[in-house]
Amino acid sequence: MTRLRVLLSRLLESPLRRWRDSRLDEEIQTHIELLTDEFLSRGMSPADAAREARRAFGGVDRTRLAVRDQRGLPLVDTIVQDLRFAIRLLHRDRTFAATAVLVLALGIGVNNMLFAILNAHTLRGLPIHDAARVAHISTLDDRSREHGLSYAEFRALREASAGFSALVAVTEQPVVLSGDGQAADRLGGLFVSGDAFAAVGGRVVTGRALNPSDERPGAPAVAIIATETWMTRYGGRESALGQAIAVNGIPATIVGVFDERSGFPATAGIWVPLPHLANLAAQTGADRTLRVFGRLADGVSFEEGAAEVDVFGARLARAHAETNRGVRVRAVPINERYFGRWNDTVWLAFMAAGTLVVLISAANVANLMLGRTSRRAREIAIRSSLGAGRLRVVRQLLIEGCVLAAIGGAAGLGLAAAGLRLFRSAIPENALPYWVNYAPDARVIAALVTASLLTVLVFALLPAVYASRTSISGVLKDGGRSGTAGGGARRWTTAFLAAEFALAIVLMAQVAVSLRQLDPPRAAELGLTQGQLVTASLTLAGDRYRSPQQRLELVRILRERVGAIAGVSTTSVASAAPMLGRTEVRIEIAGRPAADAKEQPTAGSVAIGPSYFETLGVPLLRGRELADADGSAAVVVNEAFVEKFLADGHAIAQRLAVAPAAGSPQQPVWATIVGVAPTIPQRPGAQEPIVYTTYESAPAATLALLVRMRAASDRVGATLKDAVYAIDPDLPLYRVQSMNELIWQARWNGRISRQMIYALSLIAMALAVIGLYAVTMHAVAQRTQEIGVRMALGARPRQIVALVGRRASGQLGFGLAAGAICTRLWEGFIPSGDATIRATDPTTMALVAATLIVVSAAACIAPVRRAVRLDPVQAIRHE
Amino acid sequence: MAPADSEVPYGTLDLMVLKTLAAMGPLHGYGVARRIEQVTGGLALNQGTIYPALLRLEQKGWIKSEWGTSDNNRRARFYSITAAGRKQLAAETALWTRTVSMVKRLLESES
Repeated sequence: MTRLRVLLSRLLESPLRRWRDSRLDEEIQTHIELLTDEFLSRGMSPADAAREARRAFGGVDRTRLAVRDQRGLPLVDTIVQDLRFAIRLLHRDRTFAATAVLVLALGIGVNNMLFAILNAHTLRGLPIHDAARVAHISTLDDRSREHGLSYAEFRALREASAGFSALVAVTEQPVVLSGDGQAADRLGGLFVSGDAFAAVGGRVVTGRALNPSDERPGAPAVAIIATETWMTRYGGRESALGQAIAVNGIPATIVGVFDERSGFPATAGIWVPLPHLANLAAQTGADRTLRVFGRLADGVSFEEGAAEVDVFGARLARAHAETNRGVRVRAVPINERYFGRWNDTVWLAFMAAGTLVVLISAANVANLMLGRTSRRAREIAIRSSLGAGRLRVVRQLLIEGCVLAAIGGAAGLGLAAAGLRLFRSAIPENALPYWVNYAPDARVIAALVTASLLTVLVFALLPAVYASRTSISGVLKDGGRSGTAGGGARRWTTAFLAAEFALAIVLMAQVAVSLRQLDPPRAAELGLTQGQLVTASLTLAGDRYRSPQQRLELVRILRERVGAIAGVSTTSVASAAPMLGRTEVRIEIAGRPAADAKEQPTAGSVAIGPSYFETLGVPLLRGRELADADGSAAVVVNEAFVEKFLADGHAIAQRLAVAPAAGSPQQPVWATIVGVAPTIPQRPGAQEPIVYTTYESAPAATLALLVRMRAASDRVGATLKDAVYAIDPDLPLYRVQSMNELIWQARWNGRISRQMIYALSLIAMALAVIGLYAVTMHAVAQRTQEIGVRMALGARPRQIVALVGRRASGQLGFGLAAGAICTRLWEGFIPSGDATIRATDPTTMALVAATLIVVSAAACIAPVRRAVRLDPVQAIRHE
Repeated sequence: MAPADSEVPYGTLDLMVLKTLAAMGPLHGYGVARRIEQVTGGLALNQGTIYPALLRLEQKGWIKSEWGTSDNNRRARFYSITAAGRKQLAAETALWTRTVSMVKRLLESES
């Protein structure tokens, strides 16, 4: 305790020093005057009294020193001194400081951004209170595939469990929200057991959450809605509480609004008590659709809870041999279930890349530092000769490094934040679950500090140790030109630069390839993205749409009504819009039976209505569109299909059998190919064979409505919804969006990886070029005297430029060669897929090399200018 | 000048300062030094050495200080003992007395 006090008061001393010193001086002054008074009163002469007083006091300076030694912490004092000195030096050498900070900010920023992404996907955890005590309970079947629990199993577990204070079952199912006088909508619905909100938590915005009494038989039917539903459907009005609605046609009342970005690891627009789930009572033990979470009771460890679940599973397997043979029940921490593992290969690669970037930027700054250190060799030598210990010199350089790293780290944090914002904006809103959150947390900041310290170790400690080894006498005698990098260091520098250029070239080659591949979009896609094409989804569920006739009747009325809307030019339906998937079918081509049933070829299949291709804006290559009258007798295939299965190119009038994929007893249906369509992707980036059949022949329950408009209108969505509402108020039209939006969303994955490569290659190029700049600047500084002599002897500026440029271009040449080799190796390792342009083809390489040469030349302008503008007289005397 | 053997024994100055402040109440540096010289009778105290000791005790929280005016109307810093200082003084007095009596017994038995 006393020790801590002493330390604290000593710490406080440092900043207070000046004030304390004056206090001590005043005290000493008073003391000596009092002594003098005393001696005067004994009858001494004033001069004698003053002398005696000083003697009795015993040395003012000694006292001052003794007190000062005891004050403050010498270490802190000198560190503050060093810090001031470092800031002054960096301020004086602003070009150096700015370059170093830029390089560090790039390295640390990239590192931090990668870490923030890793953190969001693996380490961060759900925003649930005390998530470590919440278990995700699931079943594993005899092939170790994960399933949920059945309702019967959940109830048995809830009765048997002692280790959990709450057990919660949740299941997601889209629901139709209607009955409130507005057009029906389809939302993500979450059916939850009563104590779910109490166990998992989350934020109730207004009203109340669901509670166990809502689950009791005979309780009034209630629902709570998500903030988004509240805002979009009810305008955020309080009156939404108590609003009568129908959930899947069953009347209920809204009792609360819930923040959908909190609590459960699920996204929903509406929450309903579990017993309202249709057919729940009829479910058997094998219908394992419930997700179950359990919060451990106080004093129960996770292992104990998991063991209890394990035993429960074993008992079930014995009791229900017919449904539970080989089925185990398992509890894992909820965060483990919903987040990736950080030591997954992908994330390890992420971390490796992040570390590499930081190391490269640090090595770059080390180069900058090295150039500066040898310029500073004389200053350091003087400091040493005046008694600065080696440690003190190293410390001084380290503190300079820390100052740079701190500024670089702060700038890096800003860069990372900007990068993350860009990254996030390229991902469609709903592509990531809400709990993937890229905002920095304590872990991200800790990683930032670690990365910054790592850079200090690399760029400051090594040059510092190297500098402190320089011999004092050598430097002083040599007039300051000693302490320069010897041959070994130069080779190391060249190798390092070559590595940097190699990395930049590998990345830039990928960019060049992707830029050159941006060939004009295919005709098919051009049609989709031109003009105003709107898609929407419908699900024909319930008794009203059970038979094919009922569905076809609805589609007929729908097309008629939508077609009559002003501004609509054509409309059609399909089982799935482009980009939104296809079903897989087995096919057989007449006259070419497969040798073995198992080897029967498969293709994608989409059921379409009349004038489908016209609505898409994609003209058929050959033949005609399908019409209702065709039934199951005619099909259209796409170009990819012709290329793969009808190599001779004769498609029209070929006979084709289509059968559902494996496992269905349904017999293949023979049809005639009446048209060939361009290849329109049904999945992002996929150019796969597709068979188009008529919707008429097999009316599916889910369908996409496609509407081509004559002019843009932001009222399309509402107009379409109104049209559907007029036909059937309980039938929701959902996911209404333009084809452009749909394509943008479907392609986010590829778009992000491309943007990442662009950004990384830009950064790699910047680092490599700054590296070259640093080394060239260093070389000019070292050879100042030599350049002066040459100029004095009549060398022309051109010759000086050649002198400086020779080494720089040599290093650049090395780098380019290394880059070409690495790109070659890279291509060997990473298959480039169906790319038609290779990273190593001469055009790509020339493009990359030309870019690098131009940028490098620009970077060398400053050092060369400095060399040419040297005043020979001063340069010769340069120390 | 006092002979060398009457210099302040090592480590006892702090104790003397504490005792003086406990006995006399608030004093400035001069007063403390003067009092120690008087009470010990001819101890050769370099009065300046009192200041590191005062700072040391203040850092430990055993004494506190504030500005005041001396007898001759000068601004001076007055030191006074704290509760913690009294406790420390009691503990050190006991220890010191025990040590002295032990050493005394030892020296007497030898002779």
